[in-house]
Amino acid sequence: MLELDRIPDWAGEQLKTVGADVGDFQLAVRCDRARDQSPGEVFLLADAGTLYIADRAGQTPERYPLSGLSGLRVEEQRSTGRLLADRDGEPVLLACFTNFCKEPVLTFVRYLRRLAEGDPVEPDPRDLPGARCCPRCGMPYPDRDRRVCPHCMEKGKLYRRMAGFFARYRASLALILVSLVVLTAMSILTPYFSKGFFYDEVIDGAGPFYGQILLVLGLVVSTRLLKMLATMVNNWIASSVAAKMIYELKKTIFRSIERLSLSFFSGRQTGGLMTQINEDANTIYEFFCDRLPYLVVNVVQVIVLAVLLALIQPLLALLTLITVPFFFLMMRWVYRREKKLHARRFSGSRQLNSLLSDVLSGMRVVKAFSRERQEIARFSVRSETLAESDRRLSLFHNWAGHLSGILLYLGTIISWGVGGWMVMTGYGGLTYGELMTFIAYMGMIYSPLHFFSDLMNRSADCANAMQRLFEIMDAQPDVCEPEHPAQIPALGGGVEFDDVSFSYVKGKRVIEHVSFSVPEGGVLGIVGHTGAGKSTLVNLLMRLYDPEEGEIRVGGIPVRELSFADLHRNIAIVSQETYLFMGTILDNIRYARPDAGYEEVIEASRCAGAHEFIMKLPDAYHTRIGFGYQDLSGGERQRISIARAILKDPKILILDEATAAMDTGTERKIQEALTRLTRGKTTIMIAHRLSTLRDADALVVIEHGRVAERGTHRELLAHEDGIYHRLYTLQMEALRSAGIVE
Amino acid sequence: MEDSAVRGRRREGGEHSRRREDGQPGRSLEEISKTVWLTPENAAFAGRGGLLHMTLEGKETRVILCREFPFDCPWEYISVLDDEHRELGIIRRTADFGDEARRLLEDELRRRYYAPEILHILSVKERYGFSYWRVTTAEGEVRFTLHDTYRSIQRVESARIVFSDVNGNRFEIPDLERLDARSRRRLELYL
Repeated sequence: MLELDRIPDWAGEQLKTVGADVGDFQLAVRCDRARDQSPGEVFLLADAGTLYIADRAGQTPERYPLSGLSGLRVEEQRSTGRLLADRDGEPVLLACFTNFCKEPVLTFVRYLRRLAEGDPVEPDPRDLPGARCCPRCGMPYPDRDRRVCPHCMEKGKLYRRMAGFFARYRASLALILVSLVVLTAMSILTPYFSKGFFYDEVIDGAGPFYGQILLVLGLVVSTRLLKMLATMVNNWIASSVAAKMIYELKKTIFRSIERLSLSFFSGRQTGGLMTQINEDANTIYEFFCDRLPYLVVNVVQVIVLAVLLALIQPLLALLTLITVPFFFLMMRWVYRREKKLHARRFSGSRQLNSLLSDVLSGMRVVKAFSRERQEIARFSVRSETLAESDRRLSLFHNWAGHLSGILLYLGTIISWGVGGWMVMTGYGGLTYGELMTFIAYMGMIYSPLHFFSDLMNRSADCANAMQRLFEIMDAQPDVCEPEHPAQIPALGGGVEFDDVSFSYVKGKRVIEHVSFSVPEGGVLGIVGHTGAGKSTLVNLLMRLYDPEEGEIRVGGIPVRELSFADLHRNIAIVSQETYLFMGTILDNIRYARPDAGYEEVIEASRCAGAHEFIMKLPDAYHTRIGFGYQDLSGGERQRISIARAILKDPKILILDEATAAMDTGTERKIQEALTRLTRGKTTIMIAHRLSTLRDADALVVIEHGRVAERGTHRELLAHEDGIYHRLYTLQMEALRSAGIVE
Repeated sequence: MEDSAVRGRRREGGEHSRRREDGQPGRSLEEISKTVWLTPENAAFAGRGGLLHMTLEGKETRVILCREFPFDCPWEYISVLDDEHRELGIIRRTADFGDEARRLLEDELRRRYYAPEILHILSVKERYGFSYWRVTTAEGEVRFTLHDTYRSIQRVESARIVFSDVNGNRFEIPDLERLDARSRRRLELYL
């Protein structure tokens, strides 16, 4: 039995009235809406043959024999959903729920379908209610694939895990710490020598060191020198370790990202991912290396200073330290206020930047519609908002700085006033020199206090950054390389899809039971509307995703058993969108085989029809392309990507709309290059323009993720009410109406 | 030549035209791109078992309503789709229809675009990139979770705020100005 939500007593009572017993049920789920979508509580329950719907506001549950229901489906509305089914050819509404219940209801429906087919319910442990809710607070995990409840997560655990990462730098960090301790000790000693010791023991007639000014000078100078030395050691270690640590951190993050499957990226906003990672690495590094060591030092400093102050004059210490709690309270308030202002400034600059990049990359459109003036207006509004938030931030900063200055000063004034009075009256035996030392220490106690309040704020930011980092490190790639890949010296070129089904989002099948095969050296054309699932087939063959059902074989061996390297060495894609990396043309052509020699590169480019235009570029093969460098036309990029594929010399070649965006002249040239490329290779061609597929040995028409038709061009054309025939006629008609017949 | 390529592509490209084209071979380009405006004269609506049905040209189908401009025009430009999300026609204004049909249409839209109004924000707790909200709506206290808080709170107009939580639920604050000061202060940080 799979009780997705616990069956309440009222539902049990209701079920008794129709003679059903709670113990007989195999499935149960709660919905939080009545059928008219008003708030309510409804339970869906199922035994082997019947679906029961019990409404808390009702008396007896409704009964639907499963044999009479077909086409069970969840219809998603914006923030609610409805469970529908067909009965006697008519759709019926079974239940309504908000998206809070969506996940469990979808699971329920999945099992209910199996139940209707006569399979008993054997719950997958991942579907059990315990697997989706935090055991501590009972709230569902916000990210279903990762069983972490941010609500209950312990900060300590995060820090411990992160500290493990920095453990290998233990020795360097310890050295930094030692140098910091020396530094602090010296800073504490300096005022003693130059103030208290100097006044009371050296220039005072009664002092034991009276007149030995040189001694004082020597002491002061040597503490200074020691301090300088400690600073130098500290800076030297810190800067050499820092670079290494931050590099390691970024490398770890990048490695965990590269390892992930494509599905991770499609499920998240990748746009800011990389910048986010960069910032996060800096935040984490700063906290652990620039702040945490100082924590130890500052704690020691505060304790030592407080003890010293109390030793000099306990009453005065107590009086002057009265301002400390106020200082903390104020810093907290300042931080909150500043965070708000910072957030506003940040969102202002983000908006301005996005507008800028948006307009700059869309400049052609802006000019074509003469919208320059409106864009300038839009820009100045945002720029003004940013300037205003900037102004407010710096005003506040200024003001808050003065305020804390006054508070600080208050402590000093108290020590001056009360201390002065004490020295004059001789109360508590305070000497002038002691007072001077006291005041100097007083000034030193505030900077660690400032540090503590800052640390608290930063630790919150750091925890967020670490959480994001661990989210990436913990994510499991969906597509895993086999542990013991099949060892094949030379992989064959045949491709087989055997009853393959796949969905990007659970429950929405994009590919359903697709089967086809291409013999080694054969040419297969795949035809279909936009969104029919053609490119998904390619993604599956490349193992960017794994099918849910069925198997894909290359050279007779299931792709799951091949190492990524073996699989990808044998397949090359030339697609409509060619991505060229920043770098030289040579690097780009050699991307698939960095060890290829110059002659091979020239040969491949010549074959792809790219050599000619490359030689016209100022630096020939060494011309830099990519963002901010030489701009290539679509056809030129295409030819470079073909050269890349030729150089790779794969067994299997995929042409995904390779010529769709070309004009006819260019297309012809590229087509020639492609013909040279495809000679003797297994080729899968995906194309919109059916005329390019005429030479394929076989064609497969994909419609709604299924194979709708298959055969040769001639066979399919003969089938007059077929999809292929219709597409072909439509395209010919379009050509004719433009006055062109191919 | 280039023109022909564009036309050829347009004919079979695009999610919408594809869907409408389905199952109706022989419909020409003009027919496909023509909008069918639904009026009380050509279309009749009826509710059955919580589902909306429409009779158009003598044919009855169960339909789904979709707002074309959900943020500005809740009762205007309503697309009427069949079970498979093929558009059957567009309603210009629900007010064009008689009282009963209008009530049916508007009830259906209200259900479809259900987004409870937030009356008060009781607390916001931020944890590691997620934020936990406790609010009151007309239906009582609700708790929801946002991921990436800044992106989950959308300011539709200057005073209207839309929340989208991790489960895909929507919540709305129709007028920020009318929200009490304390709730506004809690929200302000994320705008």
